[in-house]
Amino acid sequence: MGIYIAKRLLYMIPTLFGMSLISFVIIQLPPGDFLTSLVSAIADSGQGLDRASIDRLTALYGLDQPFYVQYWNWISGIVFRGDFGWSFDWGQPVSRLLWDRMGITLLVSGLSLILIWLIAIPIGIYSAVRRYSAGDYIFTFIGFIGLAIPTFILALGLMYVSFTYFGLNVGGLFSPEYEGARWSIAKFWDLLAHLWIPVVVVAISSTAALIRVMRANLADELGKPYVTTARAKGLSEFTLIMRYPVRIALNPFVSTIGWVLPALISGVTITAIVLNLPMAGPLLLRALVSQDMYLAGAFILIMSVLTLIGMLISDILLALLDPRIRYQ
Amino acid sequence: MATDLAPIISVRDLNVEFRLRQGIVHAVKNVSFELRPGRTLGLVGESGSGKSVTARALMQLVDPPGYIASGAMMLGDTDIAKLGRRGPAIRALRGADISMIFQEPMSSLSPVHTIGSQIIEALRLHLKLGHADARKRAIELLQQVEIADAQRNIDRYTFEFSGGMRQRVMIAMALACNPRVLIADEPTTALDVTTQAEVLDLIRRIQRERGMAMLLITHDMGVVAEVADDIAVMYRGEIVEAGPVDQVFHQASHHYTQRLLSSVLKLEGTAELKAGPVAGAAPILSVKGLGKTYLVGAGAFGGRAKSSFRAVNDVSFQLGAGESLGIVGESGSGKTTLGRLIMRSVEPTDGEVVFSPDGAPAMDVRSLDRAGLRRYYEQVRFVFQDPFSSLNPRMSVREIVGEPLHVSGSLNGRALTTRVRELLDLVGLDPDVMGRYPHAFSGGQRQRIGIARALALEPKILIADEPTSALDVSIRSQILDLLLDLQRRLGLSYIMISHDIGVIRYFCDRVAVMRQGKIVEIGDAKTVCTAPSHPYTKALISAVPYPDPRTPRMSRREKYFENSA
Amino acid sequence: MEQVTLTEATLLPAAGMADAGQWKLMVWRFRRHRLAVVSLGIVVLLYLVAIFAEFLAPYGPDLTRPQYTYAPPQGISFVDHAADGALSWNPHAAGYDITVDQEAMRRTFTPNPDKIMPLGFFVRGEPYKLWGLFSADLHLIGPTKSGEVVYLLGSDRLGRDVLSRLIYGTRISMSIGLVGVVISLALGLFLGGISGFYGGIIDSLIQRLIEVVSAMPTIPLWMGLAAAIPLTWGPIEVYFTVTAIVSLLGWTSLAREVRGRFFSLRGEDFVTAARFDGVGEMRIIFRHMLPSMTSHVLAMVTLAVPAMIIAETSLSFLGIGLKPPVVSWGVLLQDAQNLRAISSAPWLLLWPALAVMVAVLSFNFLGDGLRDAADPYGD
Repeated sequence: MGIYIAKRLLYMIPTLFGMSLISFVIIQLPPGDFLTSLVSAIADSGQGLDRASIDRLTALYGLDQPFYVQYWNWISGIVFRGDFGWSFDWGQPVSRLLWDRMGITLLVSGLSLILIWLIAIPIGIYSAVRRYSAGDYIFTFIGFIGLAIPTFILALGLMYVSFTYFGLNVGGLFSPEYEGARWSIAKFWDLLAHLWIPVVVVAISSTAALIRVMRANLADELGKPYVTTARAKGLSEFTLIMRYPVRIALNPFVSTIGWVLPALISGVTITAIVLNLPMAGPLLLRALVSQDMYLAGAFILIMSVLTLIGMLISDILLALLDPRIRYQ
Repeated sequence: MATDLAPIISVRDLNVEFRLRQGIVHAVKNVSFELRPGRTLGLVGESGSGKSVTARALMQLVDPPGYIASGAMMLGDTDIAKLGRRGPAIRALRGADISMIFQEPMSSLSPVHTIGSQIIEALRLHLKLGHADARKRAIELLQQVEIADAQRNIDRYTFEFSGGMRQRVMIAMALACNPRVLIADEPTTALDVTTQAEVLDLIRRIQRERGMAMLLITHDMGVVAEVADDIAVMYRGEIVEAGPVDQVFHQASHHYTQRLLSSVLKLEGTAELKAGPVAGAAPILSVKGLGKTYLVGAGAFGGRAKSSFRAVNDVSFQLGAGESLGIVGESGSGKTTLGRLIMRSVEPTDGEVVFSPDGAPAMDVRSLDRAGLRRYYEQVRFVFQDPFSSLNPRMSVREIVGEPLHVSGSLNGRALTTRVRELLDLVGLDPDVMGRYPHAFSGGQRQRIGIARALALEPKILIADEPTSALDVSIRSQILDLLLDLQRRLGLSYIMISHDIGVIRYFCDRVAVMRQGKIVEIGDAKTVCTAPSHPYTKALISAVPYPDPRTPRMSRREKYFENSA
Repeated sequence: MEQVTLTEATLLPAAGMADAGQWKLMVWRFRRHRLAVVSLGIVVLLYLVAIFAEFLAPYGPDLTRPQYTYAPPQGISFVDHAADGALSWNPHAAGYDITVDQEAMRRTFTPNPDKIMPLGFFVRGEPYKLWGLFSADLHLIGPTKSGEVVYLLGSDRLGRDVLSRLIYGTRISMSIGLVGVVISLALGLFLGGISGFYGGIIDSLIQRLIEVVSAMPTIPLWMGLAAAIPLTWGPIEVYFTVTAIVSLLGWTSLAREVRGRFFSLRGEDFVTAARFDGVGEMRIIFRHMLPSMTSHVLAMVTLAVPAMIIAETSLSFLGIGLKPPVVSWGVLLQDAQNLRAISSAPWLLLWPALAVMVAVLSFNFLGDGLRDAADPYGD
């Protein structure tokens, strides 16, 4: 088991490298470098920046260096010092802006994942066992609708419905009275009361997909000979389905984390933008629009790395569940 | 015959139907039989005869869209047919009064539960044992089915066991709650002959010790003759003949039984059609020191392999022109790999293969380039085991059979079509079917198409890898006869790879016996099959069940141990 | 193990099926999937709308009318209810009275049941150039009285007709799905193909790349790439860049599918048989393997289109994809970005959202049906 985890960790290194490279390419993509933006920003504010200062800054940030040197400067800062660069838009180190927002993003993603599982597993089981029943068709249909609505439209729709019919403004994460308040149980409840909307919005689209995965997995397993063996033992239908095929169908289900997590983070990002929640999404959009590229790159990198860690956890979970993997 | 004991189960006029889109299929029609304590009823038939469905009906295990349409299955005063598929009444019977052993020991056990937990579950369910007691009993059961070190093995998973061991676990599970009736559905079909003999010994011993009634489902007449007391022959859902084993085997009255027995017995002898090798013919193919090593556990980054495995080890033989050479062995013996090595679809690691056709320069097969290999493939052809996967479902028969002709550029257009017609005619198919696709043909017909394709370029050698193992016994001999007939007419040489001693004995002039990648014995087929000299061959041949209850062979078999060699 | 026991005779397909090639069998199987057949119809319809946008739209997409800002949808009915209850054929839209609130500088539209706006089919209206080639002024539907303006699905902030914009948006959004999928497919086939064909180091390198790309959350990545599009670029450049971005991330699943199929097919007996027939490598791929893959790839491609449509819509909605004056469903949704806009003019959200959903659903069902039909030899 230890060897297995070590192996997985080792496998992560090239992937991490690839992700950081892509993130850095994104940072470098906009025409001109961030210094050009900085210079023009300073010029806008009425001050001038002399040639010497520009040269000094260029040297400081290594902007005259080749790509790989710049990449090395950037990534070594992150790996060794936790320094993600400077956000000129905010006039702050990126790392100071990053973690709060990522924390809530992660919280919402995590809660969504739990919600998705709570819904998808029982419905998937029901649909597989009662295939082609009315209930199965209804769930399939609802699932398809969930699949077809882009997350941001769902968020917009929910916002519209809750505003026109319930008079609720669902934007933000706190009611005004708790906005600046210190953390307390009441504030936490207030957070939860606001949090459920993004959680539900994000969960809906992936739930549909996972119901279908669970249904297909289980339907495959239900026809396997070992199910007949269990039935021939005299087990009750419920016990045998839960103990054997469901247990085995859960294994591939766990590994769906691999593609659900990126989808979740995507969903959270866009939902947060629509609902204007203080999460990574709006900040990322703002950073991109104002070409505050170190901030944007840091967000993309951290989101990717978190996804990868999620996948690692799912791999470990899978190995715990399935002796065939564990014993490899 | 002893019919004095009252039956445990009596089945009367059982009908099982399947409701399908095309209509209702009557899988089991008016079947009646009785199971008595201490006796074994063998239910035999070819695939699709309804024997498995009958067995499942006894435990109400027929899955939808199948259902029991009518009939009674009395277990004491209970009519199982009336219990329904679910509910506590049938569940109380399953595993407790009636147990079942399934065919596939691999897939019939859960891969993610330990074998112990799967046995203990049944014990706790029916005998209401506590966990500790149940575990103790499970260990005893594993010991009874001769699993060594049961204390430790009880906590292992199925994938850590071999096929024979898994089937023993299955038996232990079936016996857990001391059932009165044991149903064994093709319990040894997936196993090698030597393992089959051991597992059958075990089942029979336990069944006699416990005085259980047993229903043995099998397609293998040999197994029935060796194991069963009574026999019922099923054909298209009906029992066409039933009675004590000896009577059915020696005074069969129904023509289907007679035909079945004669095709089985035919494979116990030698083919009449056999041409025999041309005397003094030069070898057309010679194999010297051929070997294949696989590296095990090589990493994705090309790391060093942990160990190596010799699939084929230093194999040498010669194939004479016009000769049929058999390669026989159990699974994992390397016989299939050997065939692929000769065809170079698996590259040999060492040794040499020389093809020396009459009146042409010899070819060193291992050093052939692409073009050379193509010329080699024109003369040395291959017939596959699986008639379903070896024909491209998306090509018509004309395209499949014509492909080698097309590629070699020898024929085109109308000439090609004419040649395909000839070939189909040659293998006994109606040439007018060539516009059809493989899905329109049965297994035997598909195998004929595969043979037609192999013959297209007038080859010298045919390598056939288990060409009949996917077919029913009655079709088996037809295909073998076809091959022999073609040999006589076209002067072919054959390498016949098979696990089935019967096929080898019937078909081959000489035979090589393989074990663990090596040829342990090679010689005249008749001699090897009747008076083998190597102890492994002795064990192998004596383990084959003989389809005559008066001369059991398997029960007097010789056993082979590594050190007895 | 026999589950369903059929004699060999009944197992053989009906006579007509014996001669049927794979496409015929697939069509038969596809037709059993009713929802997929309906969806195919809808998809074809959507593309027809995209092709004939100029003719189908009552107005041009950029025609602004300041006096009609946020006009509500008028709806359409085809019959007239006379006083005596008799029905007569008279296509018309409901009319309304316009009052201007001087203080709030806002127009209010109050429905007036007495006013109706007669509509006609194949009416002459605003001139246009079909596909930029043929001058015409015939429109499928429009008010018969000249000078009248009809907003069947309402108007936006600048008094532009939502229906017309939706129709023109179909052209962009549906074509991005198609073009994007073609690029994805080319990339997926190329990389998946060489990955499956050569194996070894090249294979592991490409597999790593696929792993990296598919493990990154798509929307942030798309955003990052799209944000790099210079503001100075023209609409066509932006269109193709956005399409490229969207497809750049969609090829991974296609490549994975192609590679997986390639590997499993390479091990099939019938491919080995072809090799033994002396068939060359190229012919093995194109004659023996590709026909078994095309149907699956077709299904995969169809299932990949919805993701492209959603991607375009999302990016444009965020303001970093397509930008006005280009009209796409995503661009239309930009107008519905804030609560104020959608609470006063919900049709700005409703119609484009509905269009996206219908398109995505249809492609999903269609792809499902194709996937089921893709292997007509199973079960």
